[in-house]
Amino acid sequence: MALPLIVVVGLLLSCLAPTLGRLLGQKVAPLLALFPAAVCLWLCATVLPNLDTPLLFEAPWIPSLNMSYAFHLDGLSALFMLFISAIGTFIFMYAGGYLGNHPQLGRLFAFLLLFFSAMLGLVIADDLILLFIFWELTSISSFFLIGFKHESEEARRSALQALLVTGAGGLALLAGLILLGDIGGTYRVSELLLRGDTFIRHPLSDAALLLILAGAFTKSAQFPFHFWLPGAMVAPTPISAFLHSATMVKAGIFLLARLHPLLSDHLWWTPLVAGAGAITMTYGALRSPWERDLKTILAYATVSVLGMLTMLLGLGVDKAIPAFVAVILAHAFYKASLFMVAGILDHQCGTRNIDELRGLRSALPITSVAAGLAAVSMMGIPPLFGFIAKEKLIEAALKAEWYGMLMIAAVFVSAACLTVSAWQVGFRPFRGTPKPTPKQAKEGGPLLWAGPLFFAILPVPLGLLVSFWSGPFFSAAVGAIQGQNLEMTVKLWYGFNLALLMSFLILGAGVGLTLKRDKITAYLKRTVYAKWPAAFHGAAVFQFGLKQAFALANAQTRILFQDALRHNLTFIMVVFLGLGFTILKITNVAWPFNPVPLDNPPLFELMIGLVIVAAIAAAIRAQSMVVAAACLGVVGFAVSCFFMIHGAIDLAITQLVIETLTVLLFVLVVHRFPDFNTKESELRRRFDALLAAASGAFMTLLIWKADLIQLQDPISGYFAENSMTKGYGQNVVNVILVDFRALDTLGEIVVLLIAALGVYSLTRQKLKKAKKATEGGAA
Amino acid sequence: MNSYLIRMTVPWLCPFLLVMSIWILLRGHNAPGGGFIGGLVAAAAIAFWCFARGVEDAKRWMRVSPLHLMIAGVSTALISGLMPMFAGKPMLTALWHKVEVPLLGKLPLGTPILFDIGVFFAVVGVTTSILFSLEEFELWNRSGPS
Repeated sequence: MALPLIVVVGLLLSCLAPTLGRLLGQKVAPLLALFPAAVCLWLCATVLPNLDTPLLFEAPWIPSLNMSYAFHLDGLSALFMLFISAIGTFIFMYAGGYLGNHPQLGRLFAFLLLFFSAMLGLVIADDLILLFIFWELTSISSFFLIGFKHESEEARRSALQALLVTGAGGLALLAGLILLGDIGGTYRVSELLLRGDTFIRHPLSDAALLLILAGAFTKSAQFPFHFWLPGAMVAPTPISAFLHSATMVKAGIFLLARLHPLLSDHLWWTPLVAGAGAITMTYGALRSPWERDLKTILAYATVSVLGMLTMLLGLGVDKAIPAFVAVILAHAFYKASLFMVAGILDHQCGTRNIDELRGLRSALPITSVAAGLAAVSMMGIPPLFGFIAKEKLIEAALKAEWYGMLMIAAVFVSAACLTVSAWQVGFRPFRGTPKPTPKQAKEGGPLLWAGPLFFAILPVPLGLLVSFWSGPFFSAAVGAIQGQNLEMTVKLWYGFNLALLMSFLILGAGVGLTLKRDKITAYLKRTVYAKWPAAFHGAAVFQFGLKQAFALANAQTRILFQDALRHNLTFIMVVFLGLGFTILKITNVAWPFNPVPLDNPPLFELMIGLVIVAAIAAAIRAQSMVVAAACLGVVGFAVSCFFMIHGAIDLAITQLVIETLTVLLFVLVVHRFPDFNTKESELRRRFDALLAAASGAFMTLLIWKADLIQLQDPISGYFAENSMTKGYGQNVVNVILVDFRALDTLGEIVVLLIAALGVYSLTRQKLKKAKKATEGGAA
Repeated sequence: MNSYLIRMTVPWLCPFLLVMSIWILLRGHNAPGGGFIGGLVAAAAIAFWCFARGVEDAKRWMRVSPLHLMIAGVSTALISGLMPMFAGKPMLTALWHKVEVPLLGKLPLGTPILFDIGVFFAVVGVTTSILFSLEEFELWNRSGPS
């Protein structure tokens, strides 16, 4: 019960956050931080000691589609939940300190909480569709959070870019998950994972694998989809730290880890996953250290680590999975800390450019300690936890069978480059003689420095005490990824071995690169950056494609839709007639030219028909729009008489009231229409008449024909029989509307709501613009 | 429609129409009617008021904003659809209870009735919202730009 409760409480808090933000101002931050803190404490107190027995919850959702609200908390979920909630707690407080009394702090927390709940839901979901819904929710909340400064065009563009990339991947993922569910015969993740053999042998497994990888790679910014992540850095720093380094971008990694027991035996798994991961890791690491913007450095470093994690999952050797768990934990902590440090520097000094930030050690003492410690963990220096992660990583690379030498080289280069990045962010701004910054630098409040300090210090005890605490935790997480139960421990010190030697070699290379960093940067600027055309950057290619897509859509709209409604109608009717006739011609449908014999001449119907014809004639002849509308109203009333004769009273009443309201609305807007008296040319009018008559005749034939075809027993009999017994109502129409087909009705009123909101905002927008214009003119 | 006669009739006629719309809503399960038709009738009553006495007066008479009304309506329908889930049944399954009501005897009350009430308010809200938006826009168009 606790599992869905966490998600639901988070979503409810998300709804309340705007109001709370308005009422409490900055105080809302520590208050809302209690929620992730509670989740984290609950996890540590009750879940972590009992990891052998996973928590389960299940409730039916759509049983006919095999969908259920199934949740499942095992070692892997616990690992993710732990760092999501721990980082969430401090990010919430930090966001309060960072944005201060920003008027839209409540809105920020609404999206942050939505994201937080969706992320927790994602890692504990045990139903593929449920998992997908949480997946999409994280993309959507990320869109709003990247675009939080929505006045800035760059923020909007980056938000859209991230949404489109992850959203497209999401669509692929949905297709992949459905395929997976189909192949396995169940949508329950925990059951699917036991059916690896059926999956591998199934002919559709290749397609499913590719689609799922597309989803995971776009979400986790794998090469060549990595470009949205540096773009997403326009978001306020708390968001970059939380979503775009520590949690959301790891959703793709999580999915790969979750499905690892099922997919990893596939022939393409290692080349695709380890290949993409290794390329991403190397690319990100090579880009990162030479950037000048603190957040861009960290963004590329994140891309690199995401690649590292993907590679570890793809290698397919036993050592890789413990390394995966260690790297993900170490990275979450040091990267959150460093991101928050970058935010503090930006916030307190007014710039993120590392060339302008010098000698801040004395101005920002606490921050400099946090930054230094986090950087040391990132470099992988003992006894911090980062060292263990790095050593595990090297061990895995040494064991790699698939292009082993290349993997070792990639790990070597990446880790060395990341050492430089760590130096650039964690040490460089604080060393040397102080330089004046745009803002007079001074330490901010505890809301700001508590988070980075906590996550910077945490790796010290984690590293030192690792052999005491890590056994069950690592065993459960690694076991969940490998799909088997196992016992393992992690230690700080394994003695002198090859991995340790490599680790120190990498450190040495990193120090060497750090010493030469300015020369390398200058050299790169002269050569690679100067020669590599900007048009080849992923983001540029994407924006170019987007522009072309918009141009295509515009062109298409220009052809299909013109400003005048009658042109659109002409187009629709021509297509309808053309397609309809072609299809009937091809399928050789017999025309219903033998009329159905009638016992009695339908007197009433004939009379009503005459009224309709007369009203239409009057409408055509009418000299003013209002008269024409009234005539059409008569047609509507006459049609309702038809309904009445055939006993459809509800339909008749509805038609009457609708017709009345339509005429009223029409009268309201009638003089917005173009002048009724400017008539089209005679030729055009004749063409219109012909077209109208032809579509009318065709529609009549179609309905006539449709009435004669009976493919199955009509369902109306079922409704009529069960209306009283199952729906407790004598009015079948109403019982259908509110009971049997209530979902349709719900959909319809939602559509109505959206339409009304559309009209409201359109008219409101014009009114506002006009008011502004007149006010401006008056001034 | 600046007619004195209509202006004076409206305050008598429209409340009657509203009461009738509720009657149509409630009888709907057993006789012609229901939330959709009832909502349209109520919307017609408000539209009538709006035409006779102006949009500002109609808004005052309605007291609630159409936007709130339609959101409340859709939410009510949604909540009635979600209620069965707490009884362990799939969404939108009808739940019925025979309830003893004074004077009326035993009445079957169920989530479809709540759903119908939601439809009623959604239809009223949507229709009046569109009507008011267009009317306000028109008023501005007639007086505005000059």
